[in-house]
Amino acid sequence: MYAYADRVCGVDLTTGEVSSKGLDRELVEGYIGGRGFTSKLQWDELGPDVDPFGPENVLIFAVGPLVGTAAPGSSRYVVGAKSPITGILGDGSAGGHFGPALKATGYDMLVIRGIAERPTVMLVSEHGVRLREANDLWGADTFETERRLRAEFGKEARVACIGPAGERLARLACIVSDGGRAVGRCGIGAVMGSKRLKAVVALGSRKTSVADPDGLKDAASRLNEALRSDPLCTNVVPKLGTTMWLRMMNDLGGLSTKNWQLGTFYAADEISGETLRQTYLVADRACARCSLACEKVVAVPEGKFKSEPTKIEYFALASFGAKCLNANLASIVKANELCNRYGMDVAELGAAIGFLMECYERGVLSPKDVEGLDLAWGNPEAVVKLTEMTAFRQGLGALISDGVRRAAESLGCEDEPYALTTKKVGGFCSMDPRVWKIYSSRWRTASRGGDHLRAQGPAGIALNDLPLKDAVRRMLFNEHACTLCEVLGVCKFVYGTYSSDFERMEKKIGILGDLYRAATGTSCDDRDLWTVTERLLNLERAVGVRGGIGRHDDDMPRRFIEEPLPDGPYAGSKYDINETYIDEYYRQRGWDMRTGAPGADKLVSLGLGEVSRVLRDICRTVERGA
Amino acid sequence: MEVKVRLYTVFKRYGRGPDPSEFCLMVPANSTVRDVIYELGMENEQGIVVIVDGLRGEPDTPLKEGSSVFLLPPAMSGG
Repeated sequence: MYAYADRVCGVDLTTGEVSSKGLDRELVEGYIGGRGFTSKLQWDELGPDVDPFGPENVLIFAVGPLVGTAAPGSSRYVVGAKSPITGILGDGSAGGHFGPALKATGYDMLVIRGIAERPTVMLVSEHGVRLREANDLWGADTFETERRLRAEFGKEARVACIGPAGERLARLACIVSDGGRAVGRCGIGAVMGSKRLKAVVALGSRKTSVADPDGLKDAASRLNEALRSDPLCTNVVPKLGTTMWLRMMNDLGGLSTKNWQLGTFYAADEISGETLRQTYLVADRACARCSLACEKVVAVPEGKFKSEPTKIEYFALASFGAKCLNANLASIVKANELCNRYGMDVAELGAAIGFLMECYERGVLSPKDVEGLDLAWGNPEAVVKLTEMTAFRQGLGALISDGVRRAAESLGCEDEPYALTTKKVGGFCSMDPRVWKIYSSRWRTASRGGDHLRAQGPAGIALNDLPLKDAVRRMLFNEHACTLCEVLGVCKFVYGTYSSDFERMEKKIGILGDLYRAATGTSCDDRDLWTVTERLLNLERAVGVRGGIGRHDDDMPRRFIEEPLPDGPYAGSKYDINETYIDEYYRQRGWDMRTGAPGADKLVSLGLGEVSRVLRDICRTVERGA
Repeated sequence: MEVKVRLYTVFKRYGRGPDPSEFCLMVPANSTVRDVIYELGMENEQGIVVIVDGLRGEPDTPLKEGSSVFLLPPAMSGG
């Protein structure tokens, strides 16, 4: 089978048993790889009764067929598990070098069950899988863990590990590889911690064989030409990466400022990507098989916020900066470094600190509750201190270490407009939905909770001006394109987000299909690929429905609906498409308008008849209960 | 009169001076945003998003001495 290693490793950490088998052909045909594999296993094995921290939760590492080939941007690996934040489908993905290293060991997927008695490291190589005790590493941060494991197993070894946050089951914990590449969302690092799995080390040199090397080379050339001809990819992305967005969002009046109370931040220029490049940039770095070098490595050389070089994204600037009204760029760089070092999701933590600051402003938290911290808006010391305390679940850090929703529940204010979450996730994007009404709606329907990365694409503010039907159709395209990237193992930014216009993205997604066909030798056309991604998106929704998700969970947070933007070019604007957007989205998806469950006809047409029967029983039970 | 211009991402290629993302531009009195767009050679760009002095504008929006003109590409994505 071309482009696949055709081997799956099963590990039971409770018993220490390791097994190996070939890939299931139906799984490959139906779901291709990567996120397709992790989500299908979650439907098959992780029902509503499964405790995310119990031995029955399954931690799944998976790569797609393009990983390990010469396809541009083919560096991604996905890790899935039931999410301890949302209680439904969970996954995250990362670029860098771990994904290709895992494929080079000769495995497409690692399926990890049980709970180890003692801290454990899993070494995956061409010779098989070996478990070793990791008492010596337990407590080490991710930078130190990676350094020590690469010293032990060689520089060719790549490491995906957790830090103190994951060890302590902080629900916003992530997995870190390559010194700062994070499997960030859904608390997957906490699941890894619950299994006492400190790290997975990949060490291999197997080549991935492809069906049509010349065809792959030709498609890769066309993709690279598409990148070279796009001024965004030649002039902007290599310099600024995702940090290019901060200034633009602020000037349009839609930057998530002061926990979304405002749309503009008076100090946006001081924390912009442009300023960051002039001050703390250390290096531009690229993932495996990528020419864009959008990774910005930054460090503060001296002072109280001195930090080690590590990767930073736009999201850190928006979260630790604008959301907290913090104009101190060095403190933002430091908080970001602590997240990478200790293994925490920048998005969820930044949102949680902004939420705490608003609680303090409103008197929900009194000075005696905050243990000597000054939680006044914009205090850089508080941002950094809270970040550190969260990693070790100390004091107020413990309160927010499980995310915004659980912190709000502890304070009894989860229904207030300043506790902004969607499906219990607070770390959704930083683009205000009162400005980007259509484009921001993507986080409402994301299958892994409030998340903006499931439907990235070049459309932005222009989508507001399209007829709703056409705008939603474009959002569906974005969802499918991003899903295709994640099943094949390529970067959705290279193929989608980093495109000057929709036509360029559409062209690149077409080339992606050619890359897949050349790599695997399959004859499926683009319509077939759309069907695969549609099947996957419906199956993921079914996981949510089975876990209790319904239409009301797709609502936009109250603040955006009830409170008009007070400032900026869109002052006075509210999110006024809460019902109309979702009606149109469900209609185009073929989902039930009342429950939000995928319709039986749609599921059957996708070969998901069994899923349809399960959902029908659930909906009947719910109706009887009501 | 002099106005301040800020360009974003792919529009920076139309910029002037050492920092093409932010610069001052001399335009005749009573100019509008359209005059700035023509002066910069951006007349073929479709659907430019215009912000003038912090408010949403359009090509016909009049400018005054010292106005700030932000010109954004309509299709920019974001995180």
